[in-house]
Amino acid sequence: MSQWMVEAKGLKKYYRLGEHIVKALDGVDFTVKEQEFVAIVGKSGSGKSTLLHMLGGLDTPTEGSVCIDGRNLAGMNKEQLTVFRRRKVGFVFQNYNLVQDLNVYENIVLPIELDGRPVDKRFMEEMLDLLKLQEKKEALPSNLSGGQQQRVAIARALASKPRILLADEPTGNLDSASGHDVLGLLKVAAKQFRQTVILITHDMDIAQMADRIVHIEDGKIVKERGLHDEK
Amino acid sequence: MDWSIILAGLMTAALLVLGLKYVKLKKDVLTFEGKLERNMDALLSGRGPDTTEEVEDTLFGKCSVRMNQIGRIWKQKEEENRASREELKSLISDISHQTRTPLSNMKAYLSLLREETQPDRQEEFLNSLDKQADKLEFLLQSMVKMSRLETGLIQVQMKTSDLCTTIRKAIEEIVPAAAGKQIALYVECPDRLWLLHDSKWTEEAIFNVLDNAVKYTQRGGEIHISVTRQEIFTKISIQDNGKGIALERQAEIFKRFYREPEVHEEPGIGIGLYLTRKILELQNGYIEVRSQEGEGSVFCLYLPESPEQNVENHKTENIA
Repeated sequence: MSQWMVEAKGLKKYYRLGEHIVKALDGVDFTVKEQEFVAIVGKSGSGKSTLLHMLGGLDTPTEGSVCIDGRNLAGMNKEQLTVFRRRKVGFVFQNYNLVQDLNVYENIVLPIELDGRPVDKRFMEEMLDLLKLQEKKEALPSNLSGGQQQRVAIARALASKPRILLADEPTGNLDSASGHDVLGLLKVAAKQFRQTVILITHDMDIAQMADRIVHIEDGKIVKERGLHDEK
Repeated sequence: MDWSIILAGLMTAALLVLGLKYVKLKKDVLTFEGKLERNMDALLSGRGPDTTEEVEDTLFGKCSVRMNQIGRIWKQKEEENRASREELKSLISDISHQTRTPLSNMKAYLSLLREETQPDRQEEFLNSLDKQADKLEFLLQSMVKMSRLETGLIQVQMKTSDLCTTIRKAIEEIVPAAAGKQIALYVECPDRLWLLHDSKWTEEAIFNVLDNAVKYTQRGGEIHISVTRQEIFTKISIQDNGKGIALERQAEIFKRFYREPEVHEEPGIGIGLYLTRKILELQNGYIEVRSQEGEGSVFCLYLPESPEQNVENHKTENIA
């Protein structure tokens, strides 16, 4: 068993754009320990989203490898990747991606039901309490505030007890106060459920809430320099 | 006549199919059971279970994911236990070393005092004795807290009460130390703020942060304490204009036994902030720090809102 929850080696992603080659990722080595809460920070176009997509098996690298939970994603076919994502990866996106016709609770348990697993009722109760959704269980997403919708999305991502949780600008659509609150809850929930979390953001204030901050610039990780630059 | 033959034939065929299915099912169950047993054995012997089927959409694949998870958590707990034992060992030797110094100093001052006849020199020795006794007291108190932490004796008892009273109590405790360094304390707090929290431990958590603020702020400095209610969390912010914390150390300070390198000669074992973090986590809250070297630090302690309990307790309050 590898000691890393996430291990990316020499990760490259090149896109062809007419005559040019765009280097979205240009040799990234990146590891995450179990139960770590890591923030990846960078400007738009720095490659941080590409990196997150690779880690979640949503995109394939031009070169290099990604191992999640000791398993190399490169060796998997499309179906295996789908199953892998369903069981091992939880996603939280900027625009919540909730099913509008289902109520809060139905949205949360949807991925578990899709995998044909029984719903762990006690775990659900605990999570609803923790994320302050108990009273909104029956509500439809359209009647919720942005912060509340994102909390539902976080609950949905955690419900299937994934090995890693990937959050792509989760506070991007929220004002800074409720963004901070939502991320605080994510932090508390991750701790409680021993969850590994990788978060990408361009907001230093949000990133500061992580255990570790990784800076990415022009498709490369620039650790130290970036850390002081932002100050 | 014909009918019964056809019927009998059909029934035999159906039985045959069912029989075959049964045999197949039995075989499947046996294979499943075999795999399960093999993987359990692997787990028991400390090897990881076979993970090849994890990404297959099969019944065993589903179980396999969970088993792998159990294996990992197990391994990790083992590792954590080992690491914390090591830490504890070094802590005990560190504390015993630290207690030795004030004790031998006290002995030395005592014997000096016995031989000294000049009153002003006697006074000086008495003062020194006092300081050493304080050091010792502090170390012993830290040890008690530490052992509580280790044995899991911190159990939060959540009750809805006024958070501002809790904060006020913590501030009262720090006033003498702050006054000694002429540090001004500014408090911004509403009259009453009902919140579900453990008053005793939260007070300790706040005090630890204040204690550090006083320790790392120069004479004549300022400490600002304020409380803000947000949508989900209530934020207690404690800001000082002390020496600040280097960026690379900002995550380290919450670790157990962490001490700023510059203060290694001062008494302490580095559990204050660790304890604070634990106390907040036990109440589903969290702590964060913002700091710039040379300009000061802000520690924010967050405790979650609990609307239902709040209302309930308000009711009992009104009746009583």
